Amino acid sequence: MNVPAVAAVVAAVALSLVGLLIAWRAWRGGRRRVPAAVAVLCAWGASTGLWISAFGAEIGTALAFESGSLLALAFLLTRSERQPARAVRERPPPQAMAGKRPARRWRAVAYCLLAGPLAFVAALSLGLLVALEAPFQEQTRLIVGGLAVPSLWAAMIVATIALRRPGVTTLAFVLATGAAAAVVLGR
Amino acid sequence: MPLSSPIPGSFTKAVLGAHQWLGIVFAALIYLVCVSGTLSVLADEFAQWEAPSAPRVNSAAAGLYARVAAAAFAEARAGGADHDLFVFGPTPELPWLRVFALGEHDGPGAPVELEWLADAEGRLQAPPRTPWTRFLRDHHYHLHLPAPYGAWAVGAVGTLLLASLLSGLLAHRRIFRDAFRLRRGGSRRVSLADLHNRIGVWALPFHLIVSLTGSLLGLAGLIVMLLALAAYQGDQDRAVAALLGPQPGSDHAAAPLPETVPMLREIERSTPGATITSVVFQHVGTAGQLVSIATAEPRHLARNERWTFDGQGNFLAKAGFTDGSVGMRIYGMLQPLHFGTYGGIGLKLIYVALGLGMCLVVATGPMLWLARRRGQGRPLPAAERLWTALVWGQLPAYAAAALVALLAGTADHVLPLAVYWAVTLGTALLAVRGRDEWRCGHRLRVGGGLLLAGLACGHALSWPAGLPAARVVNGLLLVAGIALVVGVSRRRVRAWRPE
Repeated sequence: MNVPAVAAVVAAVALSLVGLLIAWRAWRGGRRRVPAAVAVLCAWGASTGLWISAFGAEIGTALAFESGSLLALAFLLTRSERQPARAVRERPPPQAMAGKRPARRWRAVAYCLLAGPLAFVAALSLGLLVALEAPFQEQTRLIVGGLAVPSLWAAMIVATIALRRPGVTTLAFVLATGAAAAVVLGR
Repeated sequence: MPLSSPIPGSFTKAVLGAHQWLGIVFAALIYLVCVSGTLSVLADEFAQWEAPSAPRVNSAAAGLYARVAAAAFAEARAGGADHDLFVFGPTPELPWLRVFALGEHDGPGAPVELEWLADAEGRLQAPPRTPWTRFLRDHHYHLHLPAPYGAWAVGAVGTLLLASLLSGLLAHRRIFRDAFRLRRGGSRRVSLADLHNRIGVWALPFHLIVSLTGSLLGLAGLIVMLLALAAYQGDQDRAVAALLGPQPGSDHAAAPLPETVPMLREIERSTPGATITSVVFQHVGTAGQLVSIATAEPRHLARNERWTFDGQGNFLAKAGFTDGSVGMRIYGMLQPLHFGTYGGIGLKLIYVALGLGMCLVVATGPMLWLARRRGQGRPLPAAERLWTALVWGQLPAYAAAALVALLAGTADHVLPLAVYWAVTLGTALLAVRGRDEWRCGHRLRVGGGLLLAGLACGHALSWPAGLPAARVVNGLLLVAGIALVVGVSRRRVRAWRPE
């Protein structure tokens, strides 16, 4: 690294720390949160700009996030609150609830199938729609469509388990898959 | 920054339920992949640590690549592995000139594979013995499952981690209110929750990048090819060409090895500052052969910008990982972003630190759930012991595997693999049969720490004039070992012990 790059890195780290300190003071004080948020964003934005100036947009942006995360965690460790040790008090076991339905294994299996292969096929179908129809250049369409699949699958897994409405999620997945099939067959 | 969350409580509760469910069911798999991934960041350094006497090549000129390729082609032809030839250039992290030759894949068995390490004069030597590093890489890349299912399984684990991160973020109602709160030493549940949430939130960009890229790298072969096949109505050749550029021809008539020096000079001229990372000959020694040269350019993440030439040395295409379409540029960034290979050893250490943070987030999730159950009077003591054994058992498992690999002097990675699973399963079995979660965790930490420190001392004594990479590894092992042994204070552990 040359001297200007080293200077940029030092300044970027310092600005990240300044942003953290402002955020911490605002958090501790509990007042004037909006001006503090603006100041924090400015400091972190300037820090990212310095990382980019030293290493280019691709590497600089990644380094800004990674160094920022590490600095924040190191700062948190210095601010941790030590509390007096407390033994865990165990409560007596709760009474079994009368009339409570026993857990059904088939339900768990159904959710696994829904969040696993069915959600994957639906995510793949939506990715296919992007790959075929998005207004990008050919390679970009294919790759962005492919890259979208894991994120869509992850979101569908969360939705399936959080909603707990297997009928609704199955219908949504079937619709997504059907739409993609219609587009592929219609070409 | 409003204090009261605008998100309805019912939504938070539902997403938190999903987060817990995912964390409890898949925590063990996610944890194993996270630990192996964190260690894999230093795979280049571990390889040099394992084979410190391997010939070093700090930089390779165009002529050296040509000499190595010619020598390897002659050896490959004699050994029946002359279908494809790969020459991987030295990097600051791994100053080795590695050569691989692959035979034709035309039968039911695996193709013939040959491997060498070249010295600075271009002479081929035996490949380095790195069984533990190979075990580590295989463990992270495909969990030792057959190809391609192993990579898909790891990709699916990456997706589950991504789903856990998304649900955890959505379920966190006090993200700003608790932004800087890290309580230690009091209630175990509160301490674990603070650690889990603070690391999870502040290191979120890293966690998202690594889980997303991991998921993509694992599933890319499946997803991108399925999409390309659908987009090109099943025309596999067109699909491959659209993504991977020109492919070798089917003319198998014998032809001389192409002159790579002019190709390398042309690349050096057109992209000053770029370093050659590999030279690959597909269908080597035939009329349809292609030469693909990969480069790492300054200020770009991609480490494998690919320049393709035909057998006569004519330039055909550049993949565009640094200056092509948006899609190709994103594609080129995936691997460097996942493994942190774009910023030297300093960045690798940042990746290791943030990776350890990710392991901590995954480890504390089930601990938190188990502590909550204990507080509610519904403890699961066997599960507590089992989880503690899995979390802390990784240290002695990896350390014992490395120790056995070094002592045995074998090149086969099956031995460290067997030792790793024996220790992992053995500690789990002992934990289930044991009585005390705290004693189990304590013993595993002390045992793991002693093994790590012993490994570092033993290695430093065996190879006193160690390489810089070996010194870094030994230093890290020693610091981690001492920190574990000294840091585990019985008194502190007992303070949390249930009465």
